[in-house]
Amino acid sequence: MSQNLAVKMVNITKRFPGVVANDKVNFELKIGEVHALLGENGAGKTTLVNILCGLYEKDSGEIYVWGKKVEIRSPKDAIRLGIFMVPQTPKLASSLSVIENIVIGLKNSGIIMPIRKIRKKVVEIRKKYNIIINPDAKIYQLSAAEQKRVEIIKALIRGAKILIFDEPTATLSPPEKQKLFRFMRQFADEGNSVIFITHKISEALEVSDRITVMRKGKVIGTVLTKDATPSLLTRWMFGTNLNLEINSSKVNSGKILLKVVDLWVKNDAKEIVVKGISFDLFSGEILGVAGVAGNGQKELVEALVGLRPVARGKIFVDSGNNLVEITRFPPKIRIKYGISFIPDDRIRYGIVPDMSIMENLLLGFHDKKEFTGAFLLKWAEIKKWAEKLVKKYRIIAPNLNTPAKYLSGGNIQRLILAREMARNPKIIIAAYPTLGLDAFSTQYIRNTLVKLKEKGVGILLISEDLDELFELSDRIMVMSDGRIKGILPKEKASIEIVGKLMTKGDVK
Amino acid sequence: MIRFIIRRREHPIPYSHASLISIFVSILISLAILTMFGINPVIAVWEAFIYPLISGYGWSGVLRNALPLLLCGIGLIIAFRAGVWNIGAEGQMLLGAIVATWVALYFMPDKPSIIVIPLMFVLGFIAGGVWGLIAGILKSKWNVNEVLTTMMLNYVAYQLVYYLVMGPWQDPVTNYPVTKPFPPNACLPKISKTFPVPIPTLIIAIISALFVYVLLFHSKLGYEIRAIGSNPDAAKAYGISYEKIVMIAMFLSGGFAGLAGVNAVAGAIPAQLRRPEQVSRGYGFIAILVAWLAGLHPIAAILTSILMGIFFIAGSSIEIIFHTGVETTNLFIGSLLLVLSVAETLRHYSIRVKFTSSLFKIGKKSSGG
Repeated sequence: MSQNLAVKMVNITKRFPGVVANDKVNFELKIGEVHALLGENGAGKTTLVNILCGLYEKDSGEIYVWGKKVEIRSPKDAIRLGIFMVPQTPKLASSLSVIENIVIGLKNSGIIMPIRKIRKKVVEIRKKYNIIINPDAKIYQLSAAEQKRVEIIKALIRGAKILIFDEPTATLSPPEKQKLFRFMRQFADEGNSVIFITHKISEALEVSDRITVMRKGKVIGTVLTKDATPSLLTRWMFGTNLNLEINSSKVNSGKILLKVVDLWVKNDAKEIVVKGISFDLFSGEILGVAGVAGNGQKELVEALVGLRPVARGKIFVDSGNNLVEITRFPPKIRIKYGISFIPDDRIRYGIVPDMSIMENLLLGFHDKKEFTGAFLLKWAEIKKWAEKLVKKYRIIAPNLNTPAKYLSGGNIQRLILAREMARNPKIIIAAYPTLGLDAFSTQYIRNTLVKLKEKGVGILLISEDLDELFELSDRIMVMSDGRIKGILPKEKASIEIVGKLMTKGDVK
Repeated sequence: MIRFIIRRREHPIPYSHASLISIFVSILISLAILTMFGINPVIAVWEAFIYPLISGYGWSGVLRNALPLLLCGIGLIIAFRAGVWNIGAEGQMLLGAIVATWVALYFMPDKPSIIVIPLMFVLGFIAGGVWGLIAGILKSKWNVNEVLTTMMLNYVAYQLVYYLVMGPWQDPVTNYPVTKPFPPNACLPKISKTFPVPIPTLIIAIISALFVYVLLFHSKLGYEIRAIGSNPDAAKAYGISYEKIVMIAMFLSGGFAGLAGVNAVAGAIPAQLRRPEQVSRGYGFIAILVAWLAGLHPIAAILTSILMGIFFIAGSSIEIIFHTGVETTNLFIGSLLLVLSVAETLRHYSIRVKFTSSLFKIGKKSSGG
């Protein structure tokens, strides 16, 4: 076996009920390289690294680490081999400090926590890699990017030789992303190895030495980054040359559907996080909201749909011929005024996971006359209607009685979309509607939003994906620190300007 | 080196399997403990489970225990399905018993059965419901933890009954802490003298179980209850009122316990209100087990309440025949509770024990989780 391999995975197969997540996968990680693992959601990337980290057990196949055959049965085994994963969403104890989180679970730490020793190490790491963090800050006070830094420090202190990043850029601003990429490079150059999981071709090309592409549980190919082209990678990822263009025409009619005046909203910790926001949403437009997550977007959305009380300010909706104030109305009334909600946290706000597909489609329709008498639900009618929606929106599931929790992310989002579109909404509040979805679902949802806009619906689109915002929006509103830093017509906006507004908050 | 490998099952073991296995294992554990006290387990099984049930005399006892358990159990199922942890069926039952006693002895002591008995059940339902509603309002308006409030309201109800049977409602003839016996028109008619199961309660319990099934799975209200209980955030986002559902669920939950309370006085022999522990007899707590063992399904609760009734009879048979004291029923029910709690974890996780010497030699063969 060649000496410069950190990891060699041979013929790895992993089946889940009804799906082969990894089908005879071969994967090699060299010492000193950043290896991008590229593929759309559901391609089997995460399954593969979960097997390497001991989170899943493989059905068959062999793993060699540092040239020796190993059986990795638990994360403990992986850690002993120097394999660490920086998870997509940080797994830290939020009420403890950074240093305490680093010390937790440290081997041979004894009864008294070796805080001072660890503090010294944290300083060393700061000097070496320029990872800046206040070791005494509590986790809940940190941004997503800072929490990611804590996870990295944790791995480094435990002697990581192989670092795995699972979609690390999703919650990072552009400058933070650059910092992370620089770290990956430096870490690999020191004789370690990095696996970088992503579904973005541009990121894979930017930072890696080699790229392995997976599709539907199989490895399609591995290529040196310097020999790779975007078109080759696209073909490998999707099997075809996917046309991702969207034809969006301008149809803004000038009629105001939603008017927000000087809105102030508190978060769960009772801090003001939306600080005096005012804007209008017109019929037939998509108003994009750009901003790094955690700058008040979540609270803004919740206030608009009625899930969070408003501290100050007013919200109006169009009721046909005049504007009606809905600031204090519950969600039920807002739905009647034509507001539909596509939530960012699909599992928490979008579906009732234990209920069936049919029952989930019924949410918000259950007191409609067609579907219920005074007491009993008309299941026969509901079934007919649900079957139509499932067909129209291509929700793939064994049957209508399947609990929603067994659906894939794309199918869950199509279910939510089907239900919300069935309301004939006038206003759609769409929060991160394509986050984590595969390319085809993403495309389907974007196309649906554009079609609705052309029919005169007003759409507020909150997203972190600047490409998506630029592709779909007619105007882009930038939020930072709970304030609007500017509302730019699409023609005048550029990624650079918006990026600057997002992070610095000022541009001139 | 011994290694415990704990893994999440990709598909949890179905609830019904876990329940059946738990029942079996808990009976084995109980018998093992009885054996340690020198009781022959074969004779114990015969005397506790087989003889009372084949001879028929045991069934009236089974049903007399099963009916209040079923009524409390289906009430709890409504609350639990709404995500509200009602621990107060005992107290709600007692309120039903108090109101039934008031109807029988003071409100209309001389009206015919056809009026008195339905009225006792209707007012008993309302009284139990209101007792539950108090906790429901506190929970929905001020987010007060319902486990604490329902529990504390139990003690309030206990004291209320004590006050009545030792104070204003005490039977002046005997001076025991009981009320006068109910007049005959307020006593629930039994199937027969040798099979003293109250007929109205039997009918009401079975109809109630069917009604709760229809309510939960075929009605708009039941849909809202299950949505709120399973994911309140999504349910609220799409227009279901959390406050309203919590209050309705707690009212209905307490109401069914109230029916059990009516039966506990009007169906007793002799029919009267006594000290609270002789009225509610812990049914309100054991009904939690009935509800969980049934997987929160009202039809399955018919079976689990009968099973629990069998445990009551098995326990008292052993107490009488082997002179073990009065804890044998609790032994059966306690072991079932423990085994069921363990089973709930094992449904989701598998545990394997491995003996290994070092990391690189762990098992040549690989196997699925």
